[in-house]
Amino acid sequence: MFTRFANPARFDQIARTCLPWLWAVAAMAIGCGLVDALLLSPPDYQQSETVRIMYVHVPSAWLAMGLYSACALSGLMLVVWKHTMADMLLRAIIPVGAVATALCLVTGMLWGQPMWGTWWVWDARLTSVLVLLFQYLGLLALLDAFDRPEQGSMAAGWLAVIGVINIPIIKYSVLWWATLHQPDSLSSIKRVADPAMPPEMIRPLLLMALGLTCLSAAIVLVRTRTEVLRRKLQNKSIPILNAEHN
Amino acid sequence: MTISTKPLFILCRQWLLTATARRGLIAQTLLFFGICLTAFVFGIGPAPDILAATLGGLCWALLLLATLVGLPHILGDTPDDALESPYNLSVLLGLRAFVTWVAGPLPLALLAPLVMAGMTPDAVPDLWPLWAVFVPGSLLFVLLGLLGATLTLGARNPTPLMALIVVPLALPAVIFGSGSVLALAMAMNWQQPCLLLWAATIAALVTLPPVAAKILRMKQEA
Repeated sequence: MFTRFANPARFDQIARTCLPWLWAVAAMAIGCGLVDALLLSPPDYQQSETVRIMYVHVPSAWLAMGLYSACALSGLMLVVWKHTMADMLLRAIIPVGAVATALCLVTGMLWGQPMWGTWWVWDARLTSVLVLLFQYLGLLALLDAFDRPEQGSMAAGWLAVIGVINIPIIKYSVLWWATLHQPDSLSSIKRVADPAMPPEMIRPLLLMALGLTCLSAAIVLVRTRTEVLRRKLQNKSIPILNAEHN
Repeated sequence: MTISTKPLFILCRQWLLTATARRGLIAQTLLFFGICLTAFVFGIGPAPDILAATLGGLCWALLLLATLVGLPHILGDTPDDALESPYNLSVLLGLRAFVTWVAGPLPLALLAPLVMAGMTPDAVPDLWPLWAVFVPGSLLFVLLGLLGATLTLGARNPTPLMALIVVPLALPAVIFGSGSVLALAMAMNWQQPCLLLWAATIAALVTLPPVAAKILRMKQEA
């Protein structure tokens, strides 16, 4: 089923059709979401105005984990089928995921300073996201560490697959340390239907999540297309490009 | 590794001699541990109450760092020869990991609890629980190192890259082990995290050598 989409020409076609929609949805959702989050939604009764950081923090945390799953999936397809599309997707996703993870950590720290009175605590949530960031950076380092790029992709693919088991282990292994981070307000479909927060707060949160997801998808598609085109050019052996790559 | 049809135990003996007599890995690992421990003790201040609270975790984390010393040699001088060996590649890599473990991390895992008992006798009620944590932990670190070494084999600058990959992968084990060491010092339930560490070590022992063998084969084809 996947191999049907694993053709670079077909991918290019699909990406070109999807991209304008993704950009449009991202711009509208982030635009409306920001207005809603910053101006219209009410301040929290405990956290007051700082709750607005959550409208970026929570979606970026979802994205950090979601994009890692995407990395692992591409890595799996790369090491199993050795398909070049999986390689290009892996290279496209890793930096986007790293930025989402860094954004999640930074917004969390900005929120933690006024709310918990400290920039950082070593609790399960924070630690596992920090390790996730280290894994993303390790993948980035591994990608470009070889003279032959396909060796780097292969190594990063394996590491992405193996690293998946690390994330839940980290999270649960630190759980017996006292946890400061609150549990999810939207932890399951059931909680979405009967949430622990008012609809005026869920609306901007979901808008921002939709917008940031579309934005990352668009960036990943653009990066993958660029990589497809770059390799196409290289295969035509334009001397300047080859010289630069060596 | 040398291609040969020598019996496995002779091969192992040869590797072990190379690692210990020619490269001096046991001495290097122990020295690295000692020097870093000194630096840390000076860094945090040698007051007895501070040491009693921190030395256990310090030694445990330093065990991971000291394991990194032997990792550049874990695949031997000519890893490609292993691919042509008549023996099963997973078994060969498992034995390489075993030899690397014996030539450094294992002696350190046996020694570190003695150092802790000597420096902070009050925080170490009993030695064998510490060995029960340090010995499987050091083996787990070496096995993760085998994975890191095969992943970075052929990279332009493999050694620092290997550390960047192995340490995050080893963090769950570090957390389990320190949970056990800290619980022991406070006379609480240390067995639970210790058993989890054993479980992780056994799982790694079964899965990681075949994974490393697969990666090595794919590296050769790529």
